Amino acid sequence: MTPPSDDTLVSLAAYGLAGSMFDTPSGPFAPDEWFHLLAAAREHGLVGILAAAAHAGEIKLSAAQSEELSVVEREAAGLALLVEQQVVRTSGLLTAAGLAHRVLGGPARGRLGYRHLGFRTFGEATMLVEPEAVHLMGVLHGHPEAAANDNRSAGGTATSRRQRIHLEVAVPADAGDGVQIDVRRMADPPTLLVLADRPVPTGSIEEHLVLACLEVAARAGTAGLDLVARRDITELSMFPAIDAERVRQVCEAWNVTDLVTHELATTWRFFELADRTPLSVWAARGDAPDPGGRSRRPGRVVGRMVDRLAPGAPGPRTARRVQ
Amino acid sequence: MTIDSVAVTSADRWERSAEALWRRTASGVVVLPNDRSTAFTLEGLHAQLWEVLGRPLTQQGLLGLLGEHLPDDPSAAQRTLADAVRFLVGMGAVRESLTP
Repeated sequence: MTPPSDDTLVSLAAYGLAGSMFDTPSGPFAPDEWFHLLAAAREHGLVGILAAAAHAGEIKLSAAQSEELSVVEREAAGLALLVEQQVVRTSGLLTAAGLAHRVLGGPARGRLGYRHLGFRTFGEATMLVEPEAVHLMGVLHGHPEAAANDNRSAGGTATSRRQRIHLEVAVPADAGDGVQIDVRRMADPPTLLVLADRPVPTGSIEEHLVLACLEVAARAGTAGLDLVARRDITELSMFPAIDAERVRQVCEAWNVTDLVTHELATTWRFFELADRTPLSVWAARGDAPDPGGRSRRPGRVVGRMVDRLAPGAPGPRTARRVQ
Repeated sequence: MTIDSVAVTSADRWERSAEALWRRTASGVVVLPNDRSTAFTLEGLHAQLWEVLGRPLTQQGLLGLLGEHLPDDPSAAQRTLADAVRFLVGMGAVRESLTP
């Protein structure tokens, strides 16, 4: 028995996406198939999506498989909450120390961008910080090497073994030219994510979309599928109140327009999304497709414009969310 | 606070602890209270109780909303509900509402 194919995993990652041409793998699954599918879902951060698809009856599972999935989903949800708890505590310390910071990654993307939070699980978070924060957290968590190194150069990081918060002084904007995004380049005042009744500074929804594209671009050429990051890009792009013009402004300010349009267009092809949005149209116009990176089924994506996703259109969510 | 020490009277109003982190799952709700290092799962009546306590409610209000999850007998329903509230308060997930 072999692990699930890439197409199976992409189909799973596309579950629930409006306009995706992929069909969810429906099952039933032989024990070996299920073992590998569940393992792959855990590895790729797709447990929440798998559970939702099974709960909706889109995937047929045996009683034992359903029970196993419930246990795994609860574990993943619990871990995500523990990460958020660490985010709240770390943010509180940094705020008390007067150090600027922004929570990035799973917690922010899940809470701000996903229509169904349960779809997005994560086991760590990134905190974009001032260099002094790396020193401070190193001392507080008993990692004198972090404090001794006092890595104040752009790109410095610190991660505790117990901590699931990855401190980053800068996010690489492009592996090629060394451009980096540090906390001073983020919108100020920040968007506030309310977790456990505490405000945690984060990026705007537009910044999160651009950063997700940068993340995928930074891993280009490495093995494996960026399923969750691609899903993040789609969810953030379809965020009802996202402002396409602000996305363009962030791209220009960070000098990453070509990279972002390419990753947006690639993601639309990746999930074979038929629906078009202002951002996907902008990306398609700006992108020069890589012939090797086309859709698995070229020519199928024709598309229709989705008016509800237009900038300024009313939506059920705002950028500031309370659980 | 132990679970048994929580008094649930008809005049009290209850609400989610604002400091608790939580997520919905396919089958219920996972909650991580502020001072805990382990999350716990709510299903059935407890999950429904958590959902409706997004706003402060009295025991009477809860009985009205959660009737289908409670025994038909009124006394048994009150006892079951009080036990569920007591459990959630003891776990740090629900608190007596301070909102006037």
